[in-house]
Parts: sequence; C-alpha cells; structure tokens
Amino acid sequence: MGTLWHDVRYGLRMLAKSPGFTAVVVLMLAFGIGANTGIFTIFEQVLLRSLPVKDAGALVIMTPQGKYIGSQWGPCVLSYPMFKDFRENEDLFEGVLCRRTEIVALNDGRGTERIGVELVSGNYFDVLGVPPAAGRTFGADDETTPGANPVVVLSSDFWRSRFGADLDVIGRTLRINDTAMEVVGVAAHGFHGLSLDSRPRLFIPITMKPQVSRGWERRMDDRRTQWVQVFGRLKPGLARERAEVAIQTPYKQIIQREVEDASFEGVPSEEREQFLQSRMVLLPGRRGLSFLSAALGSQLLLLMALAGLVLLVTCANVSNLLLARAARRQKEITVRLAIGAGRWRIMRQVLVESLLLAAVGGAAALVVTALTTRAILRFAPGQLSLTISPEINGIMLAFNVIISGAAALLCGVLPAWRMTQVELASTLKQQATAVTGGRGTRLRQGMVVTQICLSLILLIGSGLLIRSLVALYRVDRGFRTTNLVCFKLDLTLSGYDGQRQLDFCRQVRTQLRSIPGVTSTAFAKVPLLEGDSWYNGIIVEGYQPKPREDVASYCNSISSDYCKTVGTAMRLGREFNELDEMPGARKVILVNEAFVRWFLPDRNPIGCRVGLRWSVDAQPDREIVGVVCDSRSANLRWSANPQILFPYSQIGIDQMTVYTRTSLPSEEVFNAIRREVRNLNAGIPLFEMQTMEDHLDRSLANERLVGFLSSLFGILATVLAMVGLYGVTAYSVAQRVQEIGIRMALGAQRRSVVSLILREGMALTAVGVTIGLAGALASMRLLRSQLFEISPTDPLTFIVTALLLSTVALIACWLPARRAAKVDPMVALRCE
Amino acid sequence: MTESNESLIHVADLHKVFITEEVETHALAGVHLSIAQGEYVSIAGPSGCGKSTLMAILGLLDSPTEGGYWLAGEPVADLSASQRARIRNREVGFIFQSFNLIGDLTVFENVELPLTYRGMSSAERKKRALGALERVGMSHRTKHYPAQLSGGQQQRVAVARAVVGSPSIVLADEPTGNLDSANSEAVMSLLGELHREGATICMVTHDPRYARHAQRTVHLFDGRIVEEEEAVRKQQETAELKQSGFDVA
Repeated sequence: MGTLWHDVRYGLRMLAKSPGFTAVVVLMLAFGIGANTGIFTIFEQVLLRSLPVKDAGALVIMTPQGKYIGSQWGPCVLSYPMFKDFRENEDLFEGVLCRRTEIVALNDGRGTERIGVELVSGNYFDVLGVPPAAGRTFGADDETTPGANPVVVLSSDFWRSRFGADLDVIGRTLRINDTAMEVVGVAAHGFHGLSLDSRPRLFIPITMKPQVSRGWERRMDDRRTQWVQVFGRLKPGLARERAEVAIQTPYKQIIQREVEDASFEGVPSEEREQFLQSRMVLLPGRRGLSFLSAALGSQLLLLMALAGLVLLVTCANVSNLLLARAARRQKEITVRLAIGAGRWRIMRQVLVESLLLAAVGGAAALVVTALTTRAILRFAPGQLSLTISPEINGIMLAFNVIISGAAALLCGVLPAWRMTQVELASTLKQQATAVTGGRGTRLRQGMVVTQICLSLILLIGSGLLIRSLVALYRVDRGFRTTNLVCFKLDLTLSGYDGQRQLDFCRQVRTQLRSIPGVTSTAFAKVPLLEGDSWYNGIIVEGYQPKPREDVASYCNSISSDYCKTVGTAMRLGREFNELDEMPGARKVILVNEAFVRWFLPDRNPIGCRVGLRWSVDAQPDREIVGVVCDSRSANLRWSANPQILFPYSQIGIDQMTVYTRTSLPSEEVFNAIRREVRNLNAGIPLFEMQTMEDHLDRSLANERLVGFLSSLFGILATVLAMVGLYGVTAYSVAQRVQEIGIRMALGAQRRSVVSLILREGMALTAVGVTIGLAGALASMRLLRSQLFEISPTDPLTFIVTALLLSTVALIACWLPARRAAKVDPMVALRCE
Repeated sequence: MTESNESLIHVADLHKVFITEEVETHALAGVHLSIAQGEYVSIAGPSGCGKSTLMAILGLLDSPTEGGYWLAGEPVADLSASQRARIRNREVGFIFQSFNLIGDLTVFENVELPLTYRGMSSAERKKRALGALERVGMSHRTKHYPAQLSGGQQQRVAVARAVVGSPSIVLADEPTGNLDSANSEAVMSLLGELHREGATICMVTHDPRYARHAQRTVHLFDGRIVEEEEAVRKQQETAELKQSGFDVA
C-alpha cells in the first residue's frame, strides 16, 4: 500500500510537471467520458431504471394478444370488468391493479391548469407498496361505484411545487373538470406513477373516469371497451413464464363467457373463433409501461455506440500522447529497471499515472455530462424533459467512475507495456533524447490508423443520419407547413359536451376567420404529425375481406376547409362544406388514395358507401364525396395508410387542433387568436400554440437529436484523429531533422522534402480510410432502421466523407511537412 | 564447465553476439573471469573492446549469447526477467558514467528507490538512505533535485544509491567519465573507502590512472581478456613512473 501511495505521489508530481500535457489529456478525456456519461444518464433512466416500488421485478403487465371485438383505447389495455375478474385471481397474483393516464383541467381557486393525472384502482398503492408521504393513499373504499369517489392523492413533486409541501392541503377541495374532489394524501417522494411517458400530478380513483371523460358511464362496465392498463404482482417464487402459461385457463374462461354474451350476437363465427384464439401475455413490468422507451430505445443505443466510438478515439489519442511521453521517459524507466524494479512494478507506476489522468478527466467530465444531458433534453421530445432528470446521481457517478477506469486502462496499458520493453544496457549508455525505438513509432502509427478508421466510421454514420434528416424535411408531405399555425383546445376539460361543443367549434372558426390576414381556418380531432391514434373497424360496401383480414382504417374528424387550410390537394370530388356540418345533413366522408387503392381498387369511389363498425350490426351508411391526395399526416416516415375523414359535426369532437393559414407574423397571429378565443370563453385554455414549422421540427426531435449528436461526435473524433496524425508526423519530422538536413545538403528540393513527409502521413491516412470504409460497410447496416430514403451503404456519402477526411488529414500532415522543408541543413548537421 | 566456489563472480567462456539485419558483431568472444569477495577489480581496454558489454552482463542488464555466469555460486545466466530484476535489486549496485539519477526525484528519493522496490518499510528505508548519504557526504542535500547539484555531487549520490542496499558487488561503469579531475579523485577515493570497508567493486575505466586504484586490472581487447595485472606489479610501475618524474595519483 505504501509503495502504491509512493506511485500516486510520483504520478501527481509528473502530471504537475507537465501542465500543458496534463491539461490536453484531461480535456480530451473529459469530452470522451462526459459524452458517454451524459448519454448513459438518459439511457439508464429511459431503458434500465426500475420503478421505485417494492420488488419491482415481480410486476407484470397483462396484455391480450390476438383478435379483439370492440373498441381499444390505447395499447396494452383490458376492459374494466376483465380487470376486476383478474383481481379476484389469488392463485397467481399477490395483487392486480389497473391504471390509466389522462389530462384534466385543475382549478384550485387560483386559475385553471391542464395537468396529467393517473386514474388508479383502489388497491394501486397497496399492490405497489408505495406508502403515503402525508395523509393516506387509496383503499378499497375509494373504488366503489362510478362517480362516487371524489378524492385525490397528490404526487410529492406537485405537493412541493404547487402547495409548498403544506400539510394543510390535506382535506382541501380541488375542482377537477368541474368536479369537486378532496385531497386525502400525498404519495411517497420519488414515485411518479407507472409510466415514464408522463409525470402525473394527481392520482384519482379509476371510478371517477366518467367525471374526467364525459359520457364514459356506459363504458365502465362494458366488456367491449378496453381502456385500463393492468399490472399484476406475481406470487413470490412464481416465474413470469409459468404464470403466463397458468393464466391462459382463467383468460379463456372469461372470453368464453364474453362470446356467449348478448353483445356478441351478429358477430360472424369466424371472427368469434379468432377472438377465442387470442391469449393473455404477461410482459415484464419492472420498468413500468413506457412507449417512450420503445420509441427512443434504438436511438439511445445508437448514441451509446457512437459515444463509445468517440471514447475509443479519445483513448487512442491519449495513448498516443502517452507513448510519445514514454519515449521521453525511457531513460528514467531504464534506470528504475536497472536498480531492480520489476516490469510489473513499472507498469503499475505508469498505469497509476493513467488512472490519475482519467480520474481528473472523469471529474471534469461531469461538466461535459451536464452539458450533454441538457443538450439531449433540449432536442428530445417534450415528455422526455419532464421525466428525465439531468441532475448528478449515484448511478451516473458510478458509471463515470467505471468508464474512467476503463479509459485509464485503455489509454495506459500499451504505453506501460511499451515502457518496459527496453534494452537496458544500451539505453543506459545513450542520451535520453536519443532513446526512441522503431517499435514505439509503429505503435503510434497504429494508433493514428485506428483513430482515422474510427473517425471515418463515425463521420459516415453521421453523414447518413444527416442526409436522412434532410430527406425527411424534403419529402413530399402532402400538406404545407409554411404560413400555418396551430393550437389545441380540449372542450371536455371546460365542461363542453354534445351540441355545445359543436356550437363552440363553429364560433371559434368564425371568429378566427375574422382576423385580418387569416386566409382560412379549420380543425381536426387527430393532429398532423402526431401518429395515427384513431384506428377503427369499418364496413366497405361491396368489399370482400381477405381471409383473417381485420377490415379497419385510420380515421379523423375534420371541419370544412380542412384540406384547403392545411394544403392537402383533392384528387376527386369535393371537400366538406358548411352544409355537411348542418344538423340532419347527409352522412358523408372523404377517403384518401391509399383507401381507394386498398378497398376500392377498380371502382369509382365517389358515391361508394362505408360504415364505422362501432357495433356488431353496423351498416355502410356514409357516402364518399371526395378523395384527398395521400399525405404523411401521421408521421413523415410513414407512407400513407388508408384513412377516412368525417365531418366533425357528424361524429363529434372533444379535443381539437385548430389550423390557421395566415400571412401574418406568428407572434401577431398568436396574440390575435388568444384574444378571439378569450372573447368567446376566457376560461378555456389554449395549449401547444406554435407554427407548423416548429411542430414539424418537434416531430423530428429524435432524428434531429441523433443527427446533431452524431455530427458532434464525428467532428470531435476527427479533430482528435487529426491531432494524433499531426503529432505523429511532427514527431517524425523532429526525429528526422538530421536525415532531412543530409538530404537537403545533397541537393533535395524543399518540395521533395514536403512530399516525403506528406507521403508518410497520407500513407497512414490511406490505411485508416481503407479499414474505415470496410468497417463502415460492415457496421452501417445497423443504422438501417434509423435511415429514411437512403441506403446504409450509400456510395456518395462514403466517397464524400472519405475525401473530406483525407483532405483534413492532408492539412494535418502539411503543417509539419512545411516545417521540415524549412530545416537549415547546416544547423541540422551541426546539431547532430 | 565448472563454477568457482570461492568467487563472488565467476564467468566462463562468455560470448555475446549482437546481430542486426546485416552485421553480426562479436562483443565478447570467450571471456573467463572470476572476482573474489572483497576484491576491487578494474576492467580496462580501448573503446569497443567489450568492457561495457561485460559490465552489463555482470550486472544482469543483459544476457550472454553463450557461456556461464555464477554469482555467489548460483548460475544466473539464464534467469527470467523478474528473477534478474530481483537479483539486481539485492545483489548489485550500479554507478554509471552519466549518473542516471531520476530528475523528478529528490536526492533522498533517488537513494531510497532500490529499497522501495525491495518492499522495505518506510522507517527502515529512511534510516538506510540517510546512512548512505551520510557515508558519501551528501546528507545535507536530501531535499535537492539532481539538477541542483554539481556533477561530482550527483555521482556521490549515485554512489549512495549503489550502496544503500548493501549489495554483494558494486559495478561502476566509467564512474569518472563525466567528471573533472578533482571530482574524479573524490569519487575514486570514495570507492577506495568503500572497498576498505569490505565492498566488492568492479569498475570499467579506460583511464590507467584510475585503473590503478584497483587491486587487479583486467585488459580486454576485441572481446577477449588479453592481460591481467596484479596490484603489486602495478605498484612497482607506479613507483617507476614517479621516479621518472610523472605525476601519478
């Protein structure tokens, strides 16, 4: 231990003696380690972290798989009656809970705010083992009959931020969607519900769903409406796989009873059979239910890989610097070996110095980590910034320490080994400055080749991702984003329903049209570029379904002038007009070209009839009056799916996104819109008001994040590689001053000296680029899922990137070559 | 080939060949040499005769291509790198022409370094290092760095480092090569003092004045021992030189 301390002291002294060297290495390691720690911080919270509940590993998510007859409100959902059936199953589960996230309007007397809440079963907190921080949580008495449990539990964060951790809030009444509810407690600190995708401020009994969503009473006990997400806690010692096998029996019994129910009359026997063949799947519930994880997982893995490459380049560069330093210290090491130090002892001493450098670099990396994490959250989708904490935590520090240690070994092992490979007798006789071995130079050259190779792979990767991003911006979207603004209104939050909703919609449109500079305005239920969230079974007159085909289409509810406002062209027929929105108007629809290609390929679609399959006896009762051109309305990456558009007045609309086409500057039109809506109802909150171009940017947040960071990493790696190449070339020039002097004395021209040095550097570059191209060819296939309309082996990207890197390499070699050409032969020869 | 039980060092038919891509150089070509415990031997010869190569092999810094080497009766010609390091640390003390002190360590740290590699306790290291520095008259410079000392002082520190571990033999390779005559005399008298205290010393020098300080001088030429002079004969020669008016140390 004493000798180790001796090594540490000596190492510190050596680092202090070369502050420039130490600063450069620390800086490089700080970037390499910081980038990795920053991305890992997000990675860990999104993909690895368990829920802060009792024994999270025992949780499973119950998800039916296969044919379903009825409506599904989101993924991984069961009907509320089916949840209650499973809650009674004590053979497999210690407890079964249900939950669902919703947005509500909260009025605590200081104004109305739109907040996220989690609707939960009465046993929710007990099953999870989450205690109250104050007051109480829910019990069985808080889940009795629909609408009869007006109580809430606050999340700890909300309690602190909104109520200043005031205990007197317990017992107070909050108005939620105009329903009075009493605060009964505060959940444990650090508990944020069962989904990473949202941070609920409040927990409300599931039986209060009708108060949150108007008209839900009839769906509470409807087995044909799936809407609750169900978690089970497995009995101790019961493996998920065994439980999944065991649960099929009660599940089959439940669905067999459902099929025998009156609601199944009229369902074709083939569909019944398919429904009966469905099964219950138990997904791991340790990390909760997160669609964000699924969406971001592959991108975060990619970023981790890219950051890892940057760290490798950094380590190669630092290793190179340490090798150069090793050459300078060879005499010292030889003396140590001569007086009896073992080779391992010398290696340990050198490794201690690497560890010290990595430790300081790791500490400095925490600053880079904070910057990287914040940069990611700035680019990333909105909900990520709500649920991910950029603050330093124990796991982040542990990762930082581990990766710093790994970097120390990566950087230090080769120079340490190299230092001990000396000819003792001859080295002791030589002058320190003359002690340099050919093997050391080759190692350094090898390091530079490695860096060039890795940098090229990184640059090609970022090139492909950037070109993919450009392609996404340039793709024919089927709608126009310029001069278009949008915002959202949720009328149900303000107590609007039925005819009042329709009237208000009409008034909003009329008022907005009156704003000078507004050319058109319209609204839709499903917003542009936010996915196809409304998928419904349909009946198409005259269409013969293929075997086992689920006849369904994506749907949207829109106002008149919608296509004109968002800039989607009509292919056939007409768009909706105000007559279609009048009470008692003929039931009409628009479909897109993809719909026609799939369901009506050889027919004139105008006049054909389609029905929504909301019940088993549904009829094709709506007439197609127009065909709109295909658009990438759901997601720029997706080509158009079959879609039906309904007049909002014929199908209802609760949440709506309003689109306004205008020639006014955005801030001006935003103010005008706020003013007009306030004039109609000052209590209705407008949210997510933005230009469509901003919305487009946000919809590409993941791609922009990956493109930005991969470019940053590519540039960083290239700079490091070029520093390495410059260093090796400059070192070579310094070693060959006498040789250059002799060449010049013998008549060599300056340009031939430049050419001599350039050849050496460019030979290394050529080797690095060749290996890098091969590596990129092999590895870029992994990027395929991230790319859009570009091949992972796109020749143009490969060639341009290789040329670009070679040009930069040429500059890195030219600087020392120019210095070599300035060598004075007399001085060089006299010097020797 | 037999080993000598009385000798501290015994080498027999020692060969060393350096092979490069084009040239094969025979640095040692069958050297036989024994050094007894407590003996003071100098190795002399012109440049390139193999003195330093022989010294490197004796100091286990290099291995012979052929031949045997026994140190204190133990064969050491074919040891592993770590075994050789251990023997160098415990049995051999080196004094180099260019001192080879570590510039980033203080005088004290340089002297205690061999003991550090021996795993000795800090207190014992301190006691012995200070003792060695006292012995060479450098105890007042313990906190200085080598660059702050004169050449003679540096070599005295190197001598202290060589003897601090009480080695079986001190190998001095041209110890006065980088010193002026006054400092050279001081270092030579220091070596003489060490010898009188019982140290075994083997010194390489090409300067006959300093070679004469040894009890025996071995002359090397083209990798072979061509002559051995005993101290008595050398003393006679010295007397003759003095009589002839030469100033001989």
